[in-house]
Amino acid sequence: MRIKPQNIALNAFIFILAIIVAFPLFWMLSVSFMAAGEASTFPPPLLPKQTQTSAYHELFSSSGLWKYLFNSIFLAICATILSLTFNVTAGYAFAKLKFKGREAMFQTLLAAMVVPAQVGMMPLFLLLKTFGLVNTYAGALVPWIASVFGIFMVRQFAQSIPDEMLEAARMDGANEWQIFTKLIVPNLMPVMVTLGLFTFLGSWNDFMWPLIIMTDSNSYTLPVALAVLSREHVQDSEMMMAGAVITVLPVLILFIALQRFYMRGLLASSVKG
Amino acid sequence: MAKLELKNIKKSFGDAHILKGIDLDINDGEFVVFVGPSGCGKSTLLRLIAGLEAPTDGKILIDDSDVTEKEPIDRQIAMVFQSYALYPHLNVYDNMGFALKLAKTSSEEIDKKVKEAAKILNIEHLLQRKPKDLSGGQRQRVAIGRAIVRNPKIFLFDEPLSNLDAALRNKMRYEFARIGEQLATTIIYVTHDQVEAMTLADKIVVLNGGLISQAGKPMELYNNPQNRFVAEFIGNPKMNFLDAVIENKAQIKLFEGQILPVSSNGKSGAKIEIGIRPENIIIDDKSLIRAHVKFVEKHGGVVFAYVESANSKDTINIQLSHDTNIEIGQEIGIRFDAKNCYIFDESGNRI
Repeated sequence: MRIKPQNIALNAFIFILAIIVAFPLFWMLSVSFMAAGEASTFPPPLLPKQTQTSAYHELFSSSGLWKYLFNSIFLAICATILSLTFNVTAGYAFAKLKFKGREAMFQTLLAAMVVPAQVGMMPLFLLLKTFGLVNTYAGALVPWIASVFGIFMVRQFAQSIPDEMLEAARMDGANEWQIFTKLIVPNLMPVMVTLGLFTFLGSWNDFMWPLIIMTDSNSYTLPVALAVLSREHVQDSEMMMAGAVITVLPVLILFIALQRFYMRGLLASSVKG
Repeated sequence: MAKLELKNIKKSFGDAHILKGIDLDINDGEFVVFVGPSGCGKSTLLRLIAGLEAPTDGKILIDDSDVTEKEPIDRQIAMVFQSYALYPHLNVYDNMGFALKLAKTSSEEIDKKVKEAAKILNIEHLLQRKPKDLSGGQRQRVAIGRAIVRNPKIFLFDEPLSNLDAALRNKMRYEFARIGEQLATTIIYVTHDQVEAMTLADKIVVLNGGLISQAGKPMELYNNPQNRFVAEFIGNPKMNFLDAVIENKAQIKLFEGQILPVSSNGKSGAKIEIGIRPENIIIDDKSLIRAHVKFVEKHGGVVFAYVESANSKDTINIQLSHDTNIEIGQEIGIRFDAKNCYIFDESGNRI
């Protein structure tokens, strides 16, 4: 088979783009293993002269990074569980259950999608303040409970489940809860993985809301802690990069591991409905 | 086994009146086929019996007890859907055992029943496969198997063969007849295909526009249709219809002025239609009714000739034996077997 010149050009272009995207990540990793001050020399070295993990040691021993790591992991897991629980049940209900005002309610939800999240932050903060939820895990989790986007995504996917399957289950004697747990959830798996991943990444990377709601430094998540640290240690590039690696690596691994399901869920919800 | 009674069943969706008062008795162990064109309400009627929809008015009785308000599971009815509706994430074994598992049946019992049903349907080798790895015919069997294991009082089948190709449909039709006999239970089967209805049914219920047009044994409907709709719907190829006028009590006058000795109780001069099946038209060169052959369909065992006469509004279909020599364009004489003519008044009722 002959390879067309335009294909070679296209692949070369994509290859260059990939290098541009990957290079900062690569240098982040490289700098995190350098000795203190090494990255600030001129010209900046590409690779460490001698690989060492002192930046990581310092980060975990002096800055209490374990605490922030725990906060981030705990919040991301809780946010994922909450989001899956509420978005999947609501999305399924909007797709398959018949109730009065269903369409009107869904249209209203969709309309709310155009309001940027930042606009809601101040009122939400004041509301949570009256509930006494400022500086608590519960307060940090509130925005993740349900999202219009999540409900919409699940609804689009759930619409592809044939009604006859649900009716067959009713004939077989399944009640609504059994239909949901035994038939719907297994068949929604691809979109649940996608939504779970979205939420986990969203919560993990979220900077603004934890910064607003978490007032005590013990409650900081990794991105917030890292931002605070970077102000204190503005000269210490190696330590900052080690912090960045710890922030980026878990989600990168998670994303690559679940990429297959993620694409399936994303594509399914984009073509159907 | 159970008997089923429908009493004045009506069903409307908003302003659309789908069923307009259905009264029907189905006996214990009967194989009943609901047949009719699209939109006649046959599938809706089946869903009402299943309990998937509630009737707007009327009563449904199973073995003399009123089940109109009962949930599907409490009616002891199993249904096979047109799209099979198998559970895609479960293998064949779990698909078939699903209802039993929900009913908290012991796993030994489930195993026994699933394997028994699989044996009847010849799908024992497929039990570990997922629905996506099965062919259309195999999926159909699994759907039937799922119904069989529950040992229901009544089986409902909603156009079960319509998703299969022609060859498989013929094979499965035979299978249905066999399964029906083996199960020896009440079966209600919905189809729009009158061949399926004729070959499978103990009793055919012809539905039209939300009402029962006629119900009875297949040959009874074929030989003695009560209205034009049933006469046209039952029988393949279709009955021929010709305009005519009642001459007197013993004679009618055909479109070309020929007199046919057919007795009727209509008024003299009344416009009517006569219906005659293709096998009851005879080629007779001495006949005064002349027609031109427009098309010849050779089926092997039989030949169908489509002919047009000067004043007939439609083509007339004639069934001939396979050795008849007939060519397109040929002029022939045709004669109607007066004993087998059906007369319908202008509103389509048999007179």
